[in-house]
Amino acid sequence: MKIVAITSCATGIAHSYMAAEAITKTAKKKGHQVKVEIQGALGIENQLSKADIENANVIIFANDVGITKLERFADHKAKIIQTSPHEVIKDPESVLAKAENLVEGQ
Amino acid sequence: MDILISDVILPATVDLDYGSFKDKDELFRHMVSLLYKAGKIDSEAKFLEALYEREALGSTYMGNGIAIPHGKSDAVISSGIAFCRCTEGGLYESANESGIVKLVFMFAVPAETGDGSYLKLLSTLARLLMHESFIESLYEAKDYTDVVEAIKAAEAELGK
Repeated sequence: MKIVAITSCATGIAHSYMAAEAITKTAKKKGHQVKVEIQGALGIENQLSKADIENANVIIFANDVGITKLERFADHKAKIIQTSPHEVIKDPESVLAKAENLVEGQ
Repeated sequence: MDILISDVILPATVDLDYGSFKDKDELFRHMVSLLYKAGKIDSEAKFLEALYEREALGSTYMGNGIAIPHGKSDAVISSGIAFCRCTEGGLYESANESGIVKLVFMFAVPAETGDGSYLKLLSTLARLLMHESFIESLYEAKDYTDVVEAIKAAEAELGK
């Protein structure tokens, strides 16, 4: 399946990057396609395109501060899983399991 | 501008034989003093304050024996990373979480970051910590050079 994610954290220095790495690593291990946008101290990195968002089977929001350009996701609320960078870092497997369950239930 | 990891983590900011600490405050004070002695910060008290401000926002305990406290402050002269490896470690309590921590990276970032290249380096190091093989190489490192080499090797692997 196709997964997209956004990670964002309070200082934008560490957690958003660790969370992005955890999602990417775990998703690849499970054989999924994955693209992660990081909203950190350096601004937006690896920004998700309209097509990325439309084609995704599931969207993971791993944020503990507001997401920039949230309007991009207005039409795709049913595909969103809400979590935090911290959850993803500590237990990426269960976040991915949630994503898989959501897609299977569709 | 490319930043060398060896400019940010200095021999004086790496302590591979820290042993144990009784609480997070003791650990913080030890690491802050390393940054101060290495000329990375100009006030231990002010930088400690920045660390605790960040702690108030959420946990810096990462699980797996790792913690990454960090602070952004005008007490930071130039970006620095202190690294402590503990044989016994200690209980690290952060936000609503706690666990025994043995590997600690402390990031010091200037209030005005300007050029993003230092931040880039910090974020790369954060990503490396998600890889088990990198963690193993940190436990195996015999000296400062091994630590820097482990980071360089893991960075190269990440870039593939």
